[in-house]
Amino acid sequence: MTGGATPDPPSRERFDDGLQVERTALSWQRTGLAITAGSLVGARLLAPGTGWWGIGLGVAGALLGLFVLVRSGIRHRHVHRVLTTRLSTAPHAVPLDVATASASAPTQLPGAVLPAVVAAAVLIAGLVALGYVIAAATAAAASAG
Amino acid sequence: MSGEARGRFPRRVFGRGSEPDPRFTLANERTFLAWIRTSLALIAGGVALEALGLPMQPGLRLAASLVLVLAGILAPLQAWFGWARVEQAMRLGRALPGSVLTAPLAVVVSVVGVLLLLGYALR
Repeated sequence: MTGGATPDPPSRERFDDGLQVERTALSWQRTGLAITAGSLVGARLLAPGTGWWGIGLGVAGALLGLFVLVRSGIRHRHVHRVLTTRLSTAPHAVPLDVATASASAPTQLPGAVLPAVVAAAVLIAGLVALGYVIAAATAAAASAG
Repeated sequence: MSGEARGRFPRRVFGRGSEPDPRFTLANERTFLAWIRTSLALIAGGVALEALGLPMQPGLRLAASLVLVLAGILAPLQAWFGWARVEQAMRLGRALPGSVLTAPLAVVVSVVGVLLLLGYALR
């Protein structure tokens, strides 16, 4: 597959922004919800054993999840705007109204800062979880043995 | 290619090649998010095993827990680097690389299942 090669003839049809863009937005929402729900449930599970640490991590995770949900809504609007005002040199899309493609409107899809933040946060959560598992197992073994 | 003066992060991906069909870029992004959710599930599973104190042989339960959490640590790396490599390949018109962690993860899940069965049988 070559990126963007073999362009179709310029189409009068509006870019199909109702499917792929919406699916991506929903995927972000699922991810944000998973982070939020996972953090709250995790805090509920861990709080008895770890006290304020567990609660603090749970709150931090829930805030990150909410941040992802908010930013993903912005991202969705950005993507939608770019794809519905793109000029005809791009495949699959022509502007419905060239006048709306103003100088201030974005012309590129968003970059990967939000994904990078999410990946880094989940990686850190995994490392914290590793520490918890080792500590909990060690404590259990010490009290049982 | 028109656009903002500022390059997009990361430059190593977006600074080269040409813009692919946006539907493929979006699909790549959804794949990234799927790996992230996979990671969350793995981490949650590993933590729950220990936190809930299920009636199992403790060593095997710990082993299962560790394997799950370690897989959960690798998954976001696959998410990010997989996304970057695929986006790069699409922009440069190259063949798409496969996901490194897919087959090992399948093995990991099976191994964890066996550990849980054994741990429960030997409790």
